[in-house]
Amino acid sequence: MKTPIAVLARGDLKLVVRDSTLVLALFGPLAITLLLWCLPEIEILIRDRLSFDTAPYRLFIVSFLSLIPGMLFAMIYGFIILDERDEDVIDFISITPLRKEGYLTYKLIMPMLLSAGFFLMIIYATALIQLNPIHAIGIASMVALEAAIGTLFLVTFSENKVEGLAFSKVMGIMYLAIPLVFFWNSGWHWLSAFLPPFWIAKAFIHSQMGSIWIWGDLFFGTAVHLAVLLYFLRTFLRRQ
Amino acid sequence: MRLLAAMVQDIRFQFRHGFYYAYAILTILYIIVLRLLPGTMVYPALTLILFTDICTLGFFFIGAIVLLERGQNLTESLFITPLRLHEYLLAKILSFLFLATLSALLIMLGASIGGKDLMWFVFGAVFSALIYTLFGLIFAARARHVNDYFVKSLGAGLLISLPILAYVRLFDTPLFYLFPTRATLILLDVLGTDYALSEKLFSVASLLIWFLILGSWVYQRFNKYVRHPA
Repeated sequence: MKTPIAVLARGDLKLVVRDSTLVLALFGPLAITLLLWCLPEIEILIRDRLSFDTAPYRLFIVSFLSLIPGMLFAMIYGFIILDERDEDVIDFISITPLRKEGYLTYKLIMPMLLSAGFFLMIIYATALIQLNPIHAIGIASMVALEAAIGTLFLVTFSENKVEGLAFSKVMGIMYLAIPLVFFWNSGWHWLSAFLPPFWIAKAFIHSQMGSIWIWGDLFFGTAVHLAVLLYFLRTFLRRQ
Repeated sequence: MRLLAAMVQDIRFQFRHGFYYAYAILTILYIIVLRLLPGTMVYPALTLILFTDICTLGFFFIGAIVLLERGQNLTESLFITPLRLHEYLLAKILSFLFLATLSALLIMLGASIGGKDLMWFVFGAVFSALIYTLFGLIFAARARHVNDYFVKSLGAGLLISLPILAYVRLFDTPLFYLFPTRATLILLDVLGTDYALSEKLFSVASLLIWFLILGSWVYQRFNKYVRHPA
C-alpha cells in the first residue's frame, strides 16, 4: 500500500515536471554553483578590467551566495503551497489521512533537504574555502532550517500568491545580516542577531579563524532558527 | 474615466496586498545604503538599484496578479463590462509605473541625488518600468502557476538584461544597442555620467519603438489567451 507521503511526492513530481517548476528549482541553485565554480576566473577578470581585487572578500561572497539556493527553494515551495491554497487543495488534503500537518511537514522537508544538499555541494564541489566537515554539517542544518523559515514566512503572512511575492521581497531583507556581520566593524552589528543568517555568517568567520566561538555560533544559531521556525509554525497553524 | 477608475482600483489592490509597505521598507533601505556609500559609488549603485529592482517590480509582480485574477474568474467578469482590453492593460501598467516612479524619486530625494539631466533620467525610469511590465505581461498571459510564470519569464528576462555586462565593463558588443535595456541603462545613468546627446536621443527612440512592439504583442496575446480563451 502506498503511504500518503509517497502519493504526495509522486503528485509533486508530476507537477514540477509538467509545469517546468523543476527547471526553476534547479536553474537558480545550479547557476549559483556555476558562478562560484568560475569565481577564481571572475576575480581575475574583475581585477584586470576594473582594477579591483575581490580576493579578500571571497569568504563573504561564498557565505552569501551559498545561502541563495536555500532562499530560492523556500520561495518555490512557498509558492507551491500558496498556489495550492488558492485552488483549495489544502482543504481537500485536510480531510484525507495525511491531514494538514502531514502536508505541511512534507512541504517543509523538501526545501530543507534540497537547501542543505546544495549548500554542501557548493562548499565541497567548488572548494573555494576549506570548511571543517563538522562545522559544515552544523551550518548546513541552519541553512535547512532557514529554508523552512522562508517557506513558512511566505505562507503564514500571505493571503494569496500576490501577497506572497510582496513578502518574498521583505524576506530578502533578512540576508542583510550577512554584509552587516562582515563589514560593520562595530558592536552595533549584534542588533541583527535576531535574524537567522547572522549566525551563519558568524559561524563562517569563526570556522575560518579556527575560533572556539564556532560552537557558540552553531548552538545559539540553531536555537534562534528553531525559535523563529516554531513561532512561524504556530502562527501558520493558528491562522488556518 | 474608465481607465482612471481601473487604475485607482489596481493601485488599491496593490496597496491592500502589501506592495506599498514592501517598497516603503526597500526604499528606506536603499536610501540608507546610498547614503553610506562613498561618493564615487553612489551613481552606479543608484543605476543598478533602479535597473535590477525598482524598475523591474512590474515584471516581478504582474504574473501573480494576472494569475490570481484568472483563478478568481475576474477577467471573464471584467470583459463583459464596458471596460476595454486596452484600458485593462493600461491600468495595470500605469499602476506599476506609479509605484516604481514614486519609489525611484523618493530614493533620489532621500539620497540627495540630482543633476542637470533629470528629465532624461525620469524618462528612463518611467520607460524602464513600462518595458519590464509589458515584458512580464507577455508571459503572464499564458502562465499556469507563479513558478510556471517565473520559469518562462526568467530566461528571457535574463537575456534582455545582458547589457548590464557592458555597464559593469565586463563584456560589450554593438549588438547590445538592439536591446531595450541598453537604452534604459544609459538613461538611468545620465545623472552620474556624461553621455552624448546622440546617445540619449537614440535611447529615447529605442524605448519608444520597443514600447510599441511590446505593447501590440501584449494586446494580441491577452486578446487571444485571456479575453477569448479557447
